[in-house]
Amino acid sequence: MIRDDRPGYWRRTCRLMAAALVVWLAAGLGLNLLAGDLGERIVFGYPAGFLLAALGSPVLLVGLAFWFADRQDRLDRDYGMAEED
Amino acid sequence: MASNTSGRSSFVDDLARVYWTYALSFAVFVTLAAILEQVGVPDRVLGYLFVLFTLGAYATIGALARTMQVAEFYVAARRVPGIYNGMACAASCLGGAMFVALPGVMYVLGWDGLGLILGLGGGLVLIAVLIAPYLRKFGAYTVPDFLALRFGGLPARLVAIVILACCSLAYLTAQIHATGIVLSRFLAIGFESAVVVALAAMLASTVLGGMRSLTWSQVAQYIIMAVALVVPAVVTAIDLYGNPLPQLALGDALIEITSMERELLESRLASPGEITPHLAPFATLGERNFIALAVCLMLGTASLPHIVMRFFTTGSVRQSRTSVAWALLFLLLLVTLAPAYAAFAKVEIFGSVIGSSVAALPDWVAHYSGLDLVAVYGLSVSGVETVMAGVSAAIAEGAAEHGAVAAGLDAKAAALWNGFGEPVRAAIFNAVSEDPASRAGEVWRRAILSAAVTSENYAARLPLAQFSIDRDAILIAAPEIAGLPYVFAGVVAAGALAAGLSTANGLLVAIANTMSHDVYYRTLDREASTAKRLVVSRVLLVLVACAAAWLAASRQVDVLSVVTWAFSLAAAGFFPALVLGIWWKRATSWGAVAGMLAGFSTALAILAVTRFAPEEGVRWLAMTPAPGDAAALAGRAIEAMVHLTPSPAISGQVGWFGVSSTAIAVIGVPVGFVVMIIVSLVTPAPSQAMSRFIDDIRTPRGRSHMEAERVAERVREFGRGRR
Repeated sequence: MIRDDRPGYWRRTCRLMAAALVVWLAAGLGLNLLAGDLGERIVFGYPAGFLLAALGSPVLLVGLAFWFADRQDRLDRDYGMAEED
Repeated sequence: MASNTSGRSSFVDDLARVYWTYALSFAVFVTLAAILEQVGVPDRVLGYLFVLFTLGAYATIGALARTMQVAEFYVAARRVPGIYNGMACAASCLGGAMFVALPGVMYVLGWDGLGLILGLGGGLVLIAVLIAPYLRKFGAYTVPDFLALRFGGLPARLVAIVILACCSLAYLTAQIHATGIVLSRFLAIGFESAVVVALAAMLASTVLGGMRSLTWSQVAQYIIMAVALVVPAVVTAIDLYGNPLPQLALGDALIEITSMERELLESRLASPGEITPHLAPFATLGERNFIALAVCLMLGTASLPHIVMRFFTTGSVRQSRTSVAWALLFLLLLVTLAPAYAAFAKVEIFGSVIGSSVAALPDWVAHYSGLDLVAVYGLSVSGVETVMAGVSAAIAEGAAEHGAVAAGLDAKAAALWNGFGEPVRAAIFNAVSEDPASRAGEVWRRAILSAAVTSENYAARLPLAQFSIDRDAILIAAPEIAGLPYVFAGVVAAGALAAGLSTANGLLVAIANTMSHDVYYRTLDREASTAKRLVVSRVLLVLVACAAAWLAASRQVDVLSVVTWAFSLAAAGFFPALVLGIWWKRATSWGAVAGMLAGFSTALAILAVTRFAPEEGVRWLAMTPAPGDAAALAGRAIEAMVHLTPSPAISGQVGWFGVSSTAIAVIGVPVGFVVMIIVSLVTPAPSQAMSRFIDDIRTPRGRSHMEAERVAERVREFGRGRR
């Protein structure tokens, strides 16, 4: 369905931006601090905290970036705001 | 938009094939170099071959991508596919100093080093969500160009130019310095000559095609960087843990490190104060500085013009967003190897260096000691080598004991010689007099043995405190520790060179584009013809490069600290204006100018006070030295990061709330936001036309503002041609 609704489009874009930033904060700083709380505990033979900060956080951030690009793209097309190729 | 770009070279249409050919020919080249090494060609010749091959490749690409079109020169005609742009951006983000030092910083800091990974990665998400798509839609050539059009004219443009020039020039100088160091090690030439080589390489891959040459050579540089970091890490991971994924083998390495740390403490090879447990969170920086450093790097990444401008070149608004995601993937692919390198090095050092007999240290220790990167009991092979010539000369003249040597030494050797303990001097003297032809490595072994025995370490098992390793050696020595042939040391060095050049070129193009577009075309000569603008751009590119190279060659800089300052200053200056300019229609010209000035000057002032007058900061501005026990630790951390002497007075270890001065963006950015919002609210709201303009950049669909302007320009020029 194609709508031409600029304010609505921008409202949804803002909401997506806020959601992306919340996830960014959680997956970035939040996860690192949480991992800090886990400290030197070993889970399943691995130092969970360190790996969470060293690998979990980067993987989530990459996922977030691709997810955001995809959602915003869908939003653009839903509202007929996407570029014509 | 692609229809009117004549003269595009074949490789833009055929990228995958070109870069695969390039990567394969690099692999073939490395194999050939390995064969040459087996045949006995000296390392130095191999070094020259590496430099020739890689720099030659970048220069060729730069030349192939030459252009006579303004849009090609400034933004690669906006036809760069997202994935390639991502590679170029990753190469731009990871500078030469970071590339070499990151594993070493992780080695020293342990857990706290992870803040750097977060900082480098997190900023790109901010670019994707808040900035890149909108600037791409606007169609800017430079960051000041956007700020000037959004914030109505000259004052905003001038402030933006000043901020850009300050951050980017400082950063560029640091990058050229880092590249010069890599090159001088690689080619065994003096630092000044190395800077000249670096300068030539930079110009070769930028002058002819501007942004277009930059983009395609950065992709080539990323490929070398990736090979250089991935191959040794994978080989080590398989070797140590049978796991081809270094990031996963990291887990096993960490477990091993923890038990090794315990054993070192139990066997009294290390005292508790000397070991920062690798797994202990926030042990060195403290939680607050960890956050501050990460935030500052993130905001800086999102504001530094040479990174932001990478997203002006994508084919569409949509691609600018996916391109950031690719950039993040490519960047983190490399950066997450740093903790693995650090952990593998620690396993090797705690396992086979510390606690072994000083007479039987692994070969790599002596080798890198010969490059002055490793010292045992404060002695390095290169230091011993420096004094040996003088010692032999003294013996030849009939000196009977070591006391008679000092007189005949030159200044440098004498300083070293006098720094050695009595028994060490005796050991060196005896070794040389017994066999005048003995090699420095042998003499060094006897010297450290005697140093160990003198310090009542009769078992001669090396304690942790008596082993020191340069930050950079953690990465540089990795291939040799892993048992790879020497050529891989060459590959790592080529990677470091690529990292330095890619960032330096990015910065160079960012500065030169601003000078030629914002200063010359937009401000001084608005009627300049296309041909004239391109000539001016190229001349300015050369001038900026030469000026920065001259600065880099003539001044001693702590590369990593200059880099963190550049991040902080850019964030404080640009971040509020960029974000509010897009997301807040009520932001006014005066608000932006005031906000940029306030943020930037606050950050600059704090930097100046903490760096040059920390006592005044404490006395007048209620700053505190970084608190309690953390002060000493933070001092060590900063020392590890910037190679400064750890005196709290000069390493900037004063500040507010216990946050160190390397993270001044944490204060500068909020100041910028607050001032910009307040001033915007008290000045009249922007016009209707501005509101429509903002609506326009917020919508991906439709022609960009700049495209419309460019059409008008073309019509004007056409008219001029007819007359």
